[in-house]
Amino acid sequence: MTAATRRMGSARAAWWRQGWRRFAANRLSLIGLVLLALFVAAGLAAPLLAPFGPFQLGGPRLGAPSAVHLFGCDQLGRDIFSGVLYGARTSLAVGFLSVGLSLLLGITVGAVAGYYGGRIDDLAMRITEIFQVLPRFFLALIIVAMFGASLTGTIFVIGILSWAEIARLVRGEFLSFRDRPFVTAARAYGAGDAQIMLREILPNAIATVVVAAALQIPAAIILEASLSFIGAGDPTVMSWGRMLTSAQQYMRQAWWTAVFPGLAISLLAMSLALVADGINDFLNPRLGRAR
Amino acid sequence: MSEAPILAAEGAAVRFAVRGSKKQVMAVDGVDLALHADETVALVGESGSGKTTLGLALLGLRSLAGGRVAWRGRDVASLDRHTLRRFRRDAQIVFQDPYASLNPRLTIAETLRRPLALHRIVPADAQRDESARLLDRVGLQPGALYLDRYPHEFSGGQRQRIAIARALSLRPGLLVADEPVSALDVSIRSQVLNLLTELRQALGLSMLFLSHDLGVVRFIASRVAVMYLGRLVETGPTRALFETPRHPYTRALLAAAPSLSRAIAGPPLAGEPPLPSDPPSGCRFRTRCPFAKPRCAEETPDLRDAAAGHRVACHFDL
Amino acid sequence: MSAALLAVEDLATSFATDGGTLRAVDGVSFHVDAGEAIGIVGESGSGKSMTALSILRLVPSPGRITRGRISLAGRDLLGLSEAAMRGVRRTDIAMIFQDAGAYLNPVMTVGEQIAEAIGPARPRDAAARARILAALSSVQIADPARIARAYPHELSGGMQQRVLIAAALIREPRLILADEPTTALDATVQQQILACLADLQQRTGAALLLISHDLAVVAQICDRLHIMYAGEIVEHGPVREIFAAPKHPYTRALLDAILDPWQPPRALVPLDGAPPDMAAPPPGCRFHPRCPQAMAICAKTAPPARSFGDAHAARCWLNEEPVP
Repeated sequence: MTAATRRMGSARAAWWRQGWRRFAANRLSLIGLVLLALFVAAGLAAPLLAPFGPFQLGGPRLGAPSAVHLFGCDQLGRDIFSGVLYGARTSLAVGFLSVGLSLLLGITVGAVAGYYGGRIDDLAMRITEIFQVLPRFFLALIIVAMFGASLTGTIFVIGILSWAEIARLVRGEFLSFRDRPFVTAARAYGAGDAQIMLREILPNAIATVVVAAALQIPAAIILEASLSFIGAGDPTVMSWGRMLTSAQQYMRQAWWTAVFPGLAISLLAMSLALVADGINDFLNPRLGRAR
Repeated sequence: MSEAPILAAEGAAVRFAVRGSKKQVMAVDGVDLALHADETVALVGESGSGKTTLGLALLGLRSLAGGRVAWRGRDVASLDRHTLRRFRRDAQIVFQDPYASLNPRLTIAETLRRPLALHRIVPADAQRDESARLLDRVGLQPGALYLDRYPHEFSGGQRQRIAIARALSLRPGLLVADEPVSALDVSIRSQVLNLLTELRQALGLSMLFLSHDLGVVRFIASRVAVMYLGRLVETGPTRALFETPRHPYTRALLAAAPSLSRAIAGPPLAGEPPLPSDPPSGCRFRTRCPFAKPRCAEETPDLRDAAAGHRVACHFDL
Repeated sequence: MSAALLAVEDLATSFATDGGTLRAVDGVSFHVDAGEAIGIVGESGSGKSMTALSILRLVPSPGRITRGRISLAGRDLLGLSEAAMRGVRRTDIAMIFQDAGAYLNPVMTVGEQIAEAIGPARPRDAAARARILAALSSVQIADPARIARAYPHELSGGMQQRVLIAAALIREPRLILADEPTTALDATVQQQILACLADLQQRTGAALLLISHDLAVVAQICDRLHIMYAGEIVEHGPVREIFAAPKHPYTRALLDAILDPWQPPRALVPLDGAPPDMAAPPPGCRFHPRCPQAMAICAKTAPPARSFGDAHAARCWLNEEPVP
């Protein structure tokens, strides 16, 4: 039995190996992955790496980058390098958690709509459309205005605004797979609806969804930065957007106050987009399939 | 002959709504068909005939707009959950497209394990061995070697064997085979046909064999039912139907079948097949029938006995 | 021997893949005379479709024609520029493929698409319209005016195929290349299409190269047959002779596998195994692992071709004199 189990492991391992090869074949995806890894490491290890606290005062006001303050200081004397590191935590947390929420909602609604069709589908699609046409930024502002600014709130809002696109995609995939022979075969041997949706169709549908979700993360990060930029973000956490707000007035004399947070946002967003592309290659072999 | 048929359609009708319009299509329109133990019935029809829909309806996988499907005498629609589960074990299906009948994300082991686990055919620790045994049985030997691979690593013929193994895993009494060899190469086709015949004899299976290929039908079936635009036009024992076809459509199908024993093929069937959403009144075949008379447009012919066990739906004795 | 319309000599087409070089077509030679109907029969992986694509120089990458000569009416096709080859595809060779629907533009009417086939100038005058209607009638479409205004999705599969044939033939090509034109169509429709092709071929005097996996289909309208296996032609000759006295075990197996509905059923003796992996074909005779009559020499050396009169030849050690 053990030899057989070992072989079962190897089929899975082979899938990873081949997928990784496809991922790595695209140099840009590799660069994106490295960058992303750096940001994640930076965010996770912020308390260890940052020489100062994110809100800690005491540095030279608008000090230029130096050996002590690698990215310089802002108008209050706060170290920008530490700000960028702590800001990475915020951005990554918002990015991944909000998209996680969006996936949960989107897959649930999309799967049910696509699988059952008919009136359930119509209802689900009307609701989805409502969420799709809402202007994201203004809705976020309204909710923040009503409930106050907090990180959880921000995550929740962004998740609420992003699920509709996922639902559409999932619905399309479920519609496409619902009548495939292997699904009918599962119905024929008596599998229940939930079982079919989760264990037969979803593993096939997930590829498109993962790529779309991966692309939503940079959008979420930019949305969070935008909210912080206009002051609607959580005041208790450091955010790149907030750093840009303060930098507005001082950009001309102190370019480092804007450039470093701005670069961080752009690079993180770009690395995520590149990784999403690579994930697409990983999951979807084009010429590899034997026929 | 008093034993209840394993599966029977009684006046079965299935309706489809056409996407984007109000039109309805009666894909199956009043069909009586019974499958008894130990026989292979072929359901012959071209695309648009409704044979696949009827096959799925017989398995309870399409809801009926009229009539009923009876499993060993009991109405399938009225079965409770527990009995419905037993029904699912007893009647299984194999599809035409070997490239779409296996879940591409699952290993063969997992594909075979799930029905075994759902119906608790064997205890959990014996499921893997049972799966290997099933693969051996369908000619993929040694079965254990193939369990941990994915469908895309197999050829069409091999995938079809795996699909047959899955169908047989529940030890059914009846197998619905929807064009199981049409998508396979000729040399592989013979292998799979022989496999099906051998399994049927060894396991005492009944088969409902859907096909448009008359040569295969004559080889494998003991009884034949010919379907056109949702209705049966002729039924009977294989030999009688092939030697003395009575319905003009059956004759046209035979004439169209490429054959090496006839020097020239007969003239092709005239006209185009009518749209299923807009069937002709009365006898649906009349628009292409060389013998059509005014009565054919007014009255729909029912199946009537023409000879022993041989029934035909036509107003005239042709 | 009169100059053939199409002459293919020692054609080889290969694909470079992860698993090695896949020799899809490996040394194929045949010719088609003007007005003849030739059939190429083989199963999936035999290389028959790739042969057709090679003639048209439409081999998809990473495939490449690696050797051989292809000439049409004496003109070397492999040496032509791409622009010149496009001209050949437009006027000299007509292509008809399986799954007609995929080759029709869903947002243009049938008439417009046939008009496109006439040429880029596309005059929309009465003469052009008359040609389009005539083309549709020539493929036995009963109401050409109505069909010309229809969109492809409104037509049945058989009709779509006939529309494609009409478009392909409107330029009066000298060679019709049909790759599985009737597969996936019902038998009655198949008959119509074959009759239509045969009729057109007779009337226009074009040559026909019909490729199929179905021996029975090919036998109905072709004069000569080529049987392909694993990238090579293993037997070729007049249809009647091949059916009466096949000289290769694979041909015999294909014939044995035909189930004739007009005859009482008989036992099927299937061929074991499956077509070989073309990246590593078996040594010697490629068919030997599946051959019920394989001998020791078959695994070592590829058999030579032997003629049996009237352009009938096969490659099989069974046809050779045993060495004492």
